[in-house]
Amino acid sequence: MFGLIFRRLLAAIPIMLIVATVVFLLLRLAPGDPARVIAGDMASEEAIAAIRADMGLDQSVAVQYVRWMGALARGDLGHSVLSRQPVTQLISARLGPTMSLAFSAIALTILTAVPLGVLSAWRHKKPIDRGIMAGAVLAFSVPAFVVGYLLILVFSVKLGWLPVQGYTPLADGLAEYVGHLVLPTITLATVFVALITRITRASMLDILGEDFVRTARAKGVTEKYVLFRHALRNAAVPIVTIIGVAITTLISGVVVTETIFNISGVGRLIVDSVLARDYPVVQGTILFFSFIYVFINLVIDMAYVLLDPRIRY
Amino acid sequence: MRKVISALACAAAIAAPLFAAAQGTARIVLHAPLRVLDPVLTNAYITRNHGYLVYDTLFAMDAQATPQPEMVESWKVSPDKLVYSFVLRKGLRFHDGSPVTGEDVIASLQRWGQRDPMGMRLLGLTEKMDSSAPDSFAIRLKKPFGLLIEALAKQGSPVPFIMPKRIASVPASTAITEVVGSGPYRFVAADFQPGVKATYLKNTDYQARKEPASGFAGGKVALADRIELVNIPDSQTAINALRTGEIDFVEDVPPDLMPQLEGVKGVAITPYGKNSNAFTLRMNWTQPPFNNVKVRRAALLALNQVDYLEAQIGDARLYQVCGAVLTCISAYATEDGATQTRAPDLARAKAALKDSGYDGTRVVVLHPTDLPILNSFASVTAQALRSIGMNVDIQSMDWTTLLARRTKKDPVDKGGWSIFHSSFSSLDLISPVINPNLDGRGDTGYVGWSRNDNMEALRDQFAEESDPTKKKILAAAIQKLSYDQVFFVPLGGYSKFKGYDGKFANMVDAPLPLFWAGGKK
Repeated sequence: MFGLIFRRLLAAIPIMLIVATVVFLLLRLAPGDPARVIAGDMASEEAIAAIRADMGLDQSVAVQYVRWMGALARGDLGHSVLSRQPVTQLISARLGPTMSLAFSAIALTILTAVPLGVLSAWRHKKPIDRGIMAGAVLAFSVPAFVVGYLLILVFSVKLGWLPVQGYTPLADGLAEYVGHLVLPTITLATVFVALITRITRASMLDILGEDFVRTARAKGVTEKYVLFRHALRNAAVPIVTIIGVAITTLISGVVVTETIFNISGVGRLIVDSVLARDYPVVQGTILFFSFIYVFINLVIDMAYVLLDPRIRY
Repeated sequence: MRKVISALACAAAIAAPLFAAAQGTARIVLHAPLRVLDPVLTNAYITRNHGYLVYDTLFAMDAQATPQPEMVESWKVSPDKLVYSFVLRKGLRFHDGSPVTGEDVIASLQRWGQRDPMGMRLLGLTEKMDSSAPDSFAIRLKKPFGLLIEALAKQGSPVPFIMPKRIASVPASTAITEVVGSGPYRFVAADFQPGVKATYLKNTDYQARKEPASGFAGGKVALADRIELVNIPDSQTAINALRTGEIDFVEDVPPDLMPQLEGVKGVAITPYGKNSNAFTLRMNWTQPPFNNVKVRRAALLALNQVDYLEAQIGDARLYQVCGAVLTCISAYATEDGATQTRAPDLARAKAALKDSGYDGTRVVVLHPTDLPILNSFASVTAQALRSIGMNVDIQSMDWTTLLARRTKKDPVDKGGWSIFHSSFSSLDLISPVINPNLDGRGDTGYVGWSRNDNMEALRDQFAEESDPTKKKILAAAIQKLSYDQVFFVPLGGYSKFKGYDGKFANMVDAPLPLFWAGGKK
């Protein structure tokens, strides 16, 4: 296991170097200029040129690249060209909301989707199965912004039970923390509950048709034991894979939900930075995402080994 | 189940007050995320608004657009109008505790003058600025500058805010690292999260003028002990949060969301004043077809302001058809020369286009997709120009790309452009000296690169003139020349509306969000 972790971490270095280089070049190729964003609509060309020189953007792309990689080697992701704050500080300030939202959504997803998928497979072609599948199709089809706005309208504006927007750190109180997470978590989890319910059901149906399940039932093993010890464990590999994908998506790509509920997470940081051509922040954030992807894939691979002893690396 | 729902309802009812803003704290939502804190480095409106919280100005325009002293106690002008001497008010202090001195004022004006068109004119005409005593300073001119006091009272971006000399001494192209002003609120640097949140505390040492607040002038009495500037990018979310009391002020309520706030208890929606903002269309003078003034004139004849205003605003109560190149809030506003303010004469426009020798050259209209306030304009322009036989190509892009794209002077088939639209705060257009669309310097001027020496001469005369009657005559001549050469096309004015609760009921009436008390009781 330790060999696996070491090899994967070693392999991550060239991957992240390639990501860093590609992102750097793509940003330089994209139209737009952070100096122009900073200077504003009516600024003169002289003023823009002076700002560009002050930020070092008047130097050649090669010089900028070498400087950035040099700083990267020292663990320095640079400073935002807009706010002048360190990129690491900007990312870390956004991690709390993003992680809270991602993990609450994934927890809700697992706690809801897996039992629903198992139940659906167990009651295959029965009304409850059809009902769950119909619900899954609906949940999968409704855009997140529709779910979000509807939840806000009912639970915040009409009933006044929960806040419309914002994020409060846990340190400011449990009630505020949870209160601000409820609606965005439901909004975000809706599509993943639908997806993982369907994946769980399909995997379970495959396994429930296997000979060893029939044998277990013939031997008089209880249905609960068959479902959760024999079938679910064997069906877990594709489910875990999708959960891993869901976690990476939730950490990096929940901009719509973050926007509707005004949660200042990493997703919003990167979108805002792209729009403002804040090169160091985009580069640093994508590098951070690539590290998260590598890490989560490593965790998933380790989970495979634990779930299925036949898997070896 | 019913018990569970009841329990949830009780818990939520207990928790609900937790989510409302605390007493003494006001949460405000402005139109954009605040990321750049230097009000001279950038002329972004969000940074200007931040500046009005933190900094003070030497003079300020009152509700009648007359400059009034703000930080200045008294001033005098020499008989030859070449020396302006100023005395600062007693007791002015920066937020770091240091007194405001003439040296601070001079450093601030010199930095502002590196960026602002009005400031550049001032510095260009200035022989020397000096301070003979801590509470005084003088501006010695090479020749008279009729707009000097107006320049010091300039309320549009960038504003001549006063900051300590040690901060203002850095070049205007380098961002300042400290936010220290002498205004009614103090910036809390430790709480600042770029693009997310900024916090301001009431400056308890601030000594407001005795006069009641009027426009930007008069006593600035803070309306809250603490202001939290929260960025909410989605307008619908901001409106919902205002309805539920989570926030207290929304700077810009979009017209389509206004009905949601009408009738909400404790929430008011009021305009910043008629024509607080203005739309414009700008052509590229350096490339075909608009390097030909006859084509520009033909295009002008095809345009109709109402089409734009209806497409974008859609409610005649919220917009105003206005042909004045200095906007209809300017003291020099006239409608002379405007044709786009009435139904277009397409037959005449087609004949003019034919007469111009237009050869079907492609007209590239830049369309910013991420600025809702400009979203409809490219389509309206394209339709109008196609109706007289022009070959129009709408190219969509984000605003940042557009800002870069419009600096290209290349032909359209090599990445150039023909037309873009803008939305300005009217304050930035009200004078020929600051209105960028009237720039006649060509290659070194505002994008579009309109070149006309007569316009530059008229603008210079306007800047140097102090007689209001003569200034009005000059402004009329500028408008006439602007329409004759089609420097740009004013597309009408519109009123921005603010939404707020009781905490801001006594807010001063101004064309911008200013968070101090007005004269109302």
